[in-house]
Amino acid sequence: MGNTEENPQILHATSHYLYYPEEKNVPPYLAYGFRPIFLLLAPYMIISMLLWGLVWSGIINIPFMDNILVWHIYEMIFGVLTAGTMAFLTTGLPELFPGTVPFIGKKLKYIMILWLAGRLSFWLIDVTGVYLTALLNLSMLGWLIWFAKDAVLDKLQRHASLGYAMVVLFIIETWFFAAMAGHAQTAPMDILKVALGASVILILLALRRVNMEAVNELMEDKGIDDVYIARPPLTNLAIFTVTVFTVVEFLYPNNSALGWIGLASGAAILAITNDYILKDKFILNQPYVIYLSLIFIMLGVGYALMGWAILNGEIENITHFRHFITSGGIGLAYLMVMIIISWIHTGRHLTSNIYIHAMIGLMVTATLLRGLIPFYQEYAHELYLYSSIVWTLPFMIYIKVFFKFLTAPRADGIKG
Amino acid sequence: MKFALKILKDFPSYLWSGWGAVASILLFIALWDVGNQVYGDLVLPSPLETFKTLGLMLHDENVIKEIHTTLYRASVGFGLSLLIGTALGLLAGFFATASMMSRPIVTILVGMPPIAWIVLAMIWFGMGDETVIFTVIVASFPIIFVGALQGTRTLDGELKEMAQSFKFPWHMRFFDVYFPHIFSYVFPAWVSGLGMAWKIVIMAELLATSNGIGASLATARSQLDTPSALAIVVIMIASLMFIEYIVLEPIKREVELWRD
Amino acid sequence: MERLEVKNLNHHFGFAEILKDINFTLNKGEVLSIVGPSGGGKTTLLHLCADLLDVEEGSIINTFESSAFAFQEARLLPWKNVIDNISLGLLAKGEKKSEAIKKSQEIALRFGLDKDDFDKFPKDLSGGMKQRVSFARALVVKPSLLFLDEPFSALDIGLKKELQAILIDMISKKEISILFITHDLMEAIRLSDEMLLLKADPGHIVKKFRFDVVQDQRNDKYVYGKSAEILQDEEIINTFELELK
Repeated sequence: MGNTEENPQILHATSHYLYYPEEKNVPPYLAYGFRPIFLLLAPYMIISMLLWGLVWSGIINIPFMDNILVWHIYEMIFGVLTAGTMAFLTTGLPELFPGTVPFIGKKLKYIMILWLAGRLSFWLIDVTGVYLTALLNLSMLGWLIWFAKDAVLDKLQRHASLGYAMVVLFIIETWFFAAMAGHAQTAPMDILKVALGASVILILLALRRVNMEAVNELMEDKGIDDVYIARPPLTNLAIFTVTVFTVVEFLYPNNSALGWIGLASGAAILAITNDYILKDKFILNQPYVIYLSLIFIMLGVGYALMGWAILNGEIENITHFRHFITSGGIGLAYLMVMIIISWIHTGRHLTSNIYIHAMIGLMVTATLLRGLIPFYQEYAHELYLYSSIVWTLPFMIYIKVFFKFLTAPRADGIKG
Repeated sequence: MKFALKILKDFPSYLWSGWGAVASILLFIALWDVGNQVYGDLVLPSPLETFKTLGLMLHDENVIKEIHTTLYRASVGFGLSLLIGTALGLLAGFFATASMMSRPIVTILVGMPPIAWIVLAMIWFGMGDETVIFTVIVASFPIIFVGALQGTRTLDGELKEMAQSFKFPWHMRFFDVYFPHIFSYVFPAWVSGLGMAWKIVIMAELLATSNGIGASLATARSQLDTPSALAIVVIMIASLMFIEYIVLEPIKREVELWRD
Repeated sequence: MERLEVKNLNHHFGFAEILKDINFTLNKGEVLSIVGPSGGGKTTLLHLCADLLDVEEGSIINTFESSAFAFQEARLLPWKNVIDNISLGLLAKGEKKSEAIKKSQEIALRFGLDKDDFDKFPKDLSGGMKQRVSFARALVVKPSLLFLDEPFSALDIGLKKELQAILIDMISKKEISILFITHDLMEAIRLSDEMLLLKADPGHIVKKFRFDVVQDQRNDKYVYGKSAEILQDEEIINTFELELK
């Protein structure tokens, strides 16, 4: 972003990094950080969510796992978060901090193996034990924080908040494993809820950057003469309310004040979409703007519905409504980051076509199927299954559309 | 007509821009809820209970009648100050002597606490409509007067000269050169005058009448009926916010679009 | 024959004598410039000629059919957009609204404004753009006499040249007569047929210069040459107090 303004003569595509490492014989799938991540993440989303749907609706069971709910939530928060964050950081840092050398080749391969080992270890946690799982997963997140240290130590602190959010997540994950190993008294599920709050914050912070890049790139592409600015105060208000909600939910999960805070969080997150209303030009009809704003709408609706459930005295519905945040908001956020990076950073234009529409539409559908269960209790079992199946479809489409880009060199011939 | 359409067109995005404000109001309500949990229902009823009481009150014919009474007083009082304040303000603005003379008087009017006016009005008019309306007028008149005065005093001489150089006919001089400028001063003054009128009407009713929302507030106080008292406060704030932010602010934005 | 004739003009503000015994004639198709130091009464003289001030002593006879004024600052109505500002003069003449808008859009494009700018308010325009609008507003009424009050003084070189070129084009086609005041000698030399030197305290005309080459033949060499020549002139040195520098 910054360096495009300083060097307008350089094409946007080449301004993604200043230096590219000298390593020889790097296969295309290891040529940039996001490539192997997305190659692994898409199938992983499909497998784990399909399994979960089948298990939770009682069709099959996994004999070697004791607490399948904790597995589901942990994997969907931390398992996926490390991959998404890594894709975001390895792609974003060389742009946000010109001079950061892209992370590629052998080193990238080893880190991906570490991530895979982390996933495998959690599947087998009841066989191999908590400590090995904790070691593998914490070192993955720890490495990410180390990789992002430039952002945290940056003199201007422009993007330091991302680093701090990751440190907080690291502490929460450590706490979680301590609880799993019996060193902390808190229920692991409660810690995972805190982790969810922290990852929503991380996603809000990351989205602000993704939005700036994607929307402005889009407008430049279409010749729309205006500037999109994601204003920090709106994001900060949302982060503040989400923090308050997370802390209060942990301490007083049944308190009526939490209901109001939930409504406030919903409103604060929806407020972020105001950035899309530009001064001169109308961009709400641009597909990517709609996709991206759906993330905020899902997150906002999720918090508001949770708040409403509390005020209504229907606290048991909270878990259903929470899926607007997880399946909906976070799911869409991952999907959007995958799509945007896979277009732009393989040397292509940010394109929307029938596949992309379908991916977004299916994910929203899956979320509605899952999140609206309280209103259709009698179909709960079917809805559990259908929603998880529908939720995996976007990732299948992703494989069909994007895997050929990820395994081939950039379309514009630039390295990376 | 074109202007009204433009306001309607921009209205959705204006409404949508209110989410941030909604969020902070909801956080404030959460704080109120905490206050209820700390101090108990008698001191501070919970927001939920207050809103339920409010719902019941709005279905009660008697309450609606009180609201009408208050609305009548506020509108008559505000309407009169709007007419007199704008007319006198414009007039004073066109004559240097008049504007010089009126400034200290306005300062006195503004400086005088409304509560003092209420006491005087009670002596002069007794308990009833006149007292309330009078107090509303004296409280909101100076604000509107000053707005109109400033509007005429600050007319741009250079633009007048430009108009003269192009030999503008009188109606263009008025509608294209003077009016937009004056209106951009007068309209905000009307808005703040209205806010003042709404606050003062309740206070005057509470002290000087036996009907209207203000009087209901006094009754709720004497019966220690905190939920009703809070519900009335919510009515007052909500109606003022509705008029100010849903009705007037969109107009004001459109009117002041040309401003920095 | 349309003309502007100033005879024995004196002007006072209170006890201060601003102008003393001014005489000149501007004939149709001519460009007359008045140069002099700031505070020398140039603006007062121009305002008297344009009937923005009342004549107290002497006489000004203006037989031009129509006139327009471009000010040093753009003086746009802040609550009107670009096109509505340009069309003001036409509307004041009683032209139909739709016709006025059409003419305004045409001239706006000719003055280098974009379609995108048409709906903008003056607050969103740069200084140069405002001056373009101001010029367009003055010229769209096709005045036979144009009054210019140092309209180029706040512009960058490029825009100055551009607007001057438009004027020179109109001058050589004898479409317009101009009375303009400036403190920039080169500007006056480039544009005018006759240049009056106005000395301050009280403002009076000390010398007249004539330039015989037609405006569209005056190249930079001519302008620089004439400037250098005129800068040697005794009266110029006195009027601008050049020797002090």
